[in-house]
Amino acid sequence: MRTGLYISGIGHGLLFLWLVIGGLISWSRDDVPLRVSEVSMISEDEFAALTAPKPQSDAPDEAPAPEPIPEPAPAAPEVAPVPPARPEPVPDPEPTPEPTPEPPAPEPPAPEPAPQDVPRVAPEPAPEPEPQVEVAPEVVETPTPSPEATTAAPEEVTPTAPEAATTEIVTEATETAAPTKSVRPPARPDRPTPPVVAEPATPETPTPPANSAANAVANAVSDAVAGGTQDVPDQNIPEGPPMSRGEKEGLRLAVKQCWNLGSTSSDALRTTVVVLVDMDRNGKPTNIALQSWDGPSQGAANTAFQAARRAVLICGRSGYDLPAEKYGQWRQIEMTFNPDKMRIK
Amino acid sequence: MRLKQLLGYALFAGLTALSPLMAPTAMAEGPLRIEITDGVIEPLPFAVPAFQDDGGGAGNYASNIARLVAADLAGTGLFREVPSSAYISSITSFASPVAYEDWRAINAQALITGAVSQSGGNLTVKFRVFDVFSGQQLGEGLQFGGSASSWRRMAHKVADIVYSRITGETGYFDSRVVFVSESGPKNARRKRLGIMDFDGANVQYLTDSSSLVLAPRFSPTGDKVLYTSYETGFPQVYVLDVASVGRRALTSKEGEMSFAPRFSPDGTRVVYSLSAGGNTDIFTMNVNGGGEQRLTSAPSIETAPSYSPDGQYIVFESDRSGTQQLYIMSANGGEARRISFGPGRYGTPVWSPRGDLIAFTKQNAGRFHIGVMRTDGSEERLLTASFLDEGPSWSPNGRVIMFTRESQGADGAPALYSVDISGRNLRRVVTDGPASDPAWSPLLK
Repeated sequence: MRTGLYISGIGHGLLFLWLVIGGLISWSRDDVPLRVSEVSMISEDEFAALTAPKPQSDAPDEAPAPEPIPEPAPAAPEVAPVPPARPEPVPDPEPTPEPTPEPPAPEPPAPEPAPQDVPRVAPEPAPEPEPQVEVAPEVVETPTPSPEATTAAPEEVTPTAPEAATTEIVTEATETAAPTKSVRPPARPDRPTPPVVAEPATPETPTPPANSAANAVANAVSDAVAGGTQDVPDQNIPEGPPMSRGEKEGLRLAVKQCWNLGSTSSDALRTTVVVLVDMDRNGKPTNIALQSWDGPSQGAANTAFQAARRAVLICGRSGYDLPAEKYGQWRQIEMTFNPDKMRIK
Repeated sequence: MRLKQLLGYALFAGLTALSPLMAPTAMAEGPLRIEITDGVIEPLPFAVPAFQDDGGGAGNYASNIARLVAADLAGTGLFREVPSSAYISSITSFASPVAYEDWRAINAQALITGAVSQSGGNLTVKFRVFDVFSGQQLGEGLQFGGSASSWRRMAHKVADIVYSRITGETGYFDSRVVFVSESGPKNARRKRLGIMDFDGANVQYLTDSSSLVLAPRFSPTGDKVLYTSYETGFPQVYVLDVASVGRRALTSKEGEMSFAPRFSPDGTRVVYSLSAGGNTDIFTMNVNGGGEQRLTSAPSIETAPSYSPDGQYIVFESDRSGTQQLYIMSANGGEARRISFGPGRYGTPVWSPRGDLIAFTKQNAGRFHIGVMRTDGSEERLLTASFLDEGPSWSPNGRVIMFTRESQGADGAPALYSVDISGRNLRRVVTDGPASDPAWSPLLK
């Protein structure tokens, strides 16, 4: 209890000190510009003495003054002594034209807006998705007008385009194991080299039946191979993380709304059945088997199983809403139907 | 340090509380497991397309039988018929394969197809039952044969089989009900015994209205009826042969009143109440006469006995405790055990054919109820409530209770009602006129 009091006291004390001292610290920072105290009081005589007799000789001496002008930040304090010479702002116009020629110096920042222009260019090719990559070369081409480079550039671009077109085929092959079983995968890699293969292939055109026979044999072989590698697709079943409680509850809620016990016998209402449900990737039940039961009779178990089977099939008509990435977790589900709460009491 | 310790404890407690939420679901071997403990109670949708005319000009019978099967099933409250207007496909032949998808599309979960042929005066009815969503036939196809005049019985038998294959328990459609048909004004009622199909069809009368009759009860085989008649001026127990309508008195001692008879499960004995000398007790005797045995001996009123299905026990009502309550004793008499302890009065107990429940009439707070309870008196449930409900009788499968409900007022008249033991599907049984004291027969052979 006292610890809290101490903490509160220390905290409030620090806050108070900050309010008092912190403000002073901040003021001290503001004292710096108050060094304007350099502005000394000059009498009119002194001023006249300064301005009247030696203006011309001093003027060239003051000429180097503009040199420090390039320093924009300290310019203000140095201008300050000038105001006493307020009637003659002549030196002022001189430094102003000088900064104007200096703007070329800020030109280096000019390249900074240049990268901003790139995105402005990008919207132009934007309507054409593929040219987006070409936008950069176009910008580069404009400063480098070299027809030779243009001829070389298209050669580099063309190989990239076909690769992008073939990526879809690659993803299909990776997502499903089907290509590994069929003959199509080996056929597709041949497509990039049709010009080479096409030349020997064209003379063989008079023998198309030989090709069909060969394909048939290839298909047969591939089928045989596919048959021997049926385990491969199983290996590709995504296991994913375990089903969450929410996902399990969602499945339970989906099944229970179709578990209709309104037409079952009272014995069936005293029977608990455990069914094993095989699911396809779409969440649809493909096979339902009675695994075990606990009740008064086999007949009651059969009736209870029928009700459970109807529940799974009816509510799974369109497929249960299950995470596809966890198919390995739910491709087989053991459902226990316990009608204890439904029993007529 | 203390502050650090406090912060450490707070952090530990917070992480401990959050750990169940952060921890991954426990890894379990084998398939995903879920448990469903509650579902829905709804009528199961079914479709009964018109049965096929399989020859002999049986078209009308085919249509009527299909309609009666549908009515039987829908009347239970456990099923709901999908109207034919919703059908996508039709059954063109009894042998043609079923287009399950079409029936699934209209959510018909059970499908009954059939065909009827006529040859001479006889009908042959064949049918199949399908579980639409599993795409399987429930059991094998069956057929019944009989005279054309018994087409209703054949339809009831088809409905019984369908009911059995879907619910897992025997049906009750091919059964009959004996009851007291009443006529005349309320203060001068004339009563006679009637018998009808369970759905109120085919009414026939077993007695005339010359004397009052009460409480008819079927024998276990359904060929005899016990009842109480005032034919002699006093209530006496009679036994009647249903086929010949011949009757005889079982008890005829002068000065004694016998009533509330009921057969033993084996049909060889009769248990009844005998009132003599101002006292009423329970007795048994052989159906063929003789072998009388007293089961109770108390100054209170013991009546309305009913055997358990195994014949080992008898449940009855008695006011020995001061109010009318239910008791169970051995079929040979002896010490009785009270099973009803709720408020109000309990009477007319009837043991379920399944043996697990006892139906009764209860009067409490000015209302009458039909209720059921376990044989030990537990799990009492009141199924109905009205001005006057009484005299429950079990269906052959122990799923439905038929009883008498009398409306209030000078024009009030008794009628027969049925209710599922769940308390749902309360329905009036259509009769020609006022009716009371129903007794359900066993399934016909």
